[in-house]
Amino acid sequence: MAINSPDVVLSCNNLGAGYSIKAGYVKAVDGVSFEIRRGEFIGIAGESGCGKSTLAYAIMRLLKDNAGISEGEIIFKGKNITRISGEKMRSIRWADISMVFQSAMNALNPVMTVGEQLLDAMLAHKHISRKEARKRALEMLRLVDISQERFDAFPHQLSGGMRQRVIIAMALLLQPELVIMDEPTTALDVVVQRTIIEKVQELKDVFGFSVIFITHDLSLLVEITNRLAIMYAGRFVEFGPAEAIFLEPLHPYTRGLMSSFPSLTGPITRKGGIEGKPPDLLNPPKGCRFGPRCSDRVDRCISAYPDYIEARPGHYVACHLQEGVRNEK
Amino acid sequence: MKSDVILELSDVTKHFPLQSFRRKGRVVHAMDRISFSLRKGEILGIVGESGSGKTTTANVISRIYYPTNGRVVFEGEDVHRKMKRTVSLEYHKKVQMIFQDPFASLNLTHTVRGILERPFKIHKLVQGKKEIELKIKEMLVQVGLDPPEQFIDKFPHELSGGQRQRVSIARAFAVNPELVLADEPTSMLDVSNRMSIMNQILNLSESMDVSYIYITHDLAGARYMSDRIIVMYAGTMLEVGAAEEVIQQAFHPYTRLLKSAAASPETGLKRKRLVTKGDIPSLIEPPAGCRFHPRCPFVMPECSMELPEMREISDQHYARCLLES
Repeated sequence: MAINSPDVVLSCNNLGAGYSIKAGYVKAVDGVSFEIRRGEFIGIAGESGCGKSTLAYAIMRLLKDNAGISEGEIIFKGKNITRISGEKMRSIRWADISMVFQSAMNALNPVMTVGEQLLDAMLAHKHISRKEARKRALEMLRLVDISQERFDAFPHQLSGGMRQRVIIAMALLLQPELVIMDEPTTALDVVVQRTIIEKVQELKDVFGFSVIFITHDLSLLVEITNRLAIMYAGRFVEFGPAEAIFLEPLHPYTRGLMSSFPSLTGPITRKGGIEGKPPDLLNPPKGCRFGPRCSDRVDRCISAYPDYIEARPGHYVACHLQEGVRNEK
Repeated sequence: MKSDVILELSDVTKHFPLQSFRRKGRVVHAMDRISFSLRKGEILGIVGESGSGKTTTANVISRIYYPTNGRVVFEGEDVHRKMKRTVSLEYHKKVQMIFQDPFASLNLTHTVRGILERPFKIHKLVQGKKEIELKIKEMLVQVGLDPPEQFIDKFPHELSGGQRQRVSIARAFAVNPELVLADEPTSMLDVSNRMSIMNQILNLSESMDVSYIYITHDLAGARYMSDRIIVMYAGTMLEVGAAEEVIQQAFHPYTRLLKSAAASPETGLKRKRLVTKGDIPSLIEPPAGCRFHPRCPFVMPECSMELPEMREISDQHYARCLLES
């Protein structure tokens, strides 16, 4: 799927990552390939345990000791960062690729003021004076609509939405090329969530960074992203333009997810959701990972894993049923 | 009011006193003058952001909290009167709860059997070990945990989130309740499970004819589930009416804001949104007048004077707002 063009910021080729635990090896990310271009807003949707956070941590090279990248490569701006040393990675991390963590409420140090934490990040990476750093930090806070007096506030003095905006300011402080957002708004209320997303989009237009936005809220992703990946049990099952996926989902899992959200304005119909639960990644099913839960499955789904098919330009899907459609054509 | 009203709240207020020395004497205004009624078999959705008082409302109805002011009347009698143990037990049998977090609301040292036999034993509904066992299995099948033999001896940690929530639902419906209070029953679940849990609740309340208070922050979910919707904000009710009416003809600016903030791709990807600033206000010192006025895009000078009265917008559709239309 990877296309080599100069404005590709990051590409993952056949990336695999997993954890060793007592019971065996959990391959949480398996054969994931995608590329993200400058200024692009990519979404990754999936249920909990589908590997979306592991993927984010793998790209950041922040996997814990019992975990690691088992195969594939991560190319950041033409440079392979899959196995570079921790020292080298540290200079890239935050300066070029930054991350907004899932529980941003807890990502701030409770005993340091907000301003001090912002300065810390900046002084660790850039050789600038404290005064200069302070000026930039204040400017960043202004951009996320936080007043200057809050510079000396402690995290507990801020509301959830404000803390989240501080985290976003921190992620953008060094003007990275790529920001990975791992469920940045899940713990927030809808209204606050909306303001924060709008802020991110606005800042993206100003600074021109790319965003990988990870969440389980598919309907939100459809609205805000350019391209969308649907992840299930460690693999991308469908990847393509957000609007195309919304209007005509090709994978049965995507269709199931779509029917899991009641609509706000459309007719009220009893919707199904998806029966069953995701597979145990210690012993994943041999064929299609979604096979055991899929209502349209055929024999082939249980025996062999489907390859990606480009069903429409730029719209990939891994499903045996789509092969059939294409052959008939 | 019609005679089939089973629950009625009139001007119920709940204030929590602050304990710290510095702020002694001040209170958190968790619920202010909440009034509504619930008919038999009706499903009422309560929608609001966190801190809006939705959960406090459920806890007052279930006698976990006593209101500071106002009355809650269930089947013609005051809920918060002094009750004998047997009467209070009877009330708790009729009014059941489903909690938000299925990981915390099931006793992790008990098996599914242990969890589900307690309601039968406490309320002495069925006698004899065999009969209870039979009832438990029947309940498990009803909530979609089929075959029951596979689940009855499991501990909560051996079940998935969705299955655990089904056990909580089975526990709530086991005693033939008349009113079930569900406090965000799907918000901790995976998206693929939410729909089937919502359907499960709908099916059970239809077949057993129970009334339902469904608390959520998800407007679309409330629309899917409920007959009527109440919109709450910072401890006050802002709008109430038939579900379709409240959503499609939203009157209060806050309801409109909620609607515009909700992700709904089918109404167009680039639709115009209402914009707002700020957060939910402090409940210790709530803003004077309408509690939403500091964030309201249509704010007028009168809005900060006093809390507007509920006023009928159209048939059975009320809103607490001074705007003309």
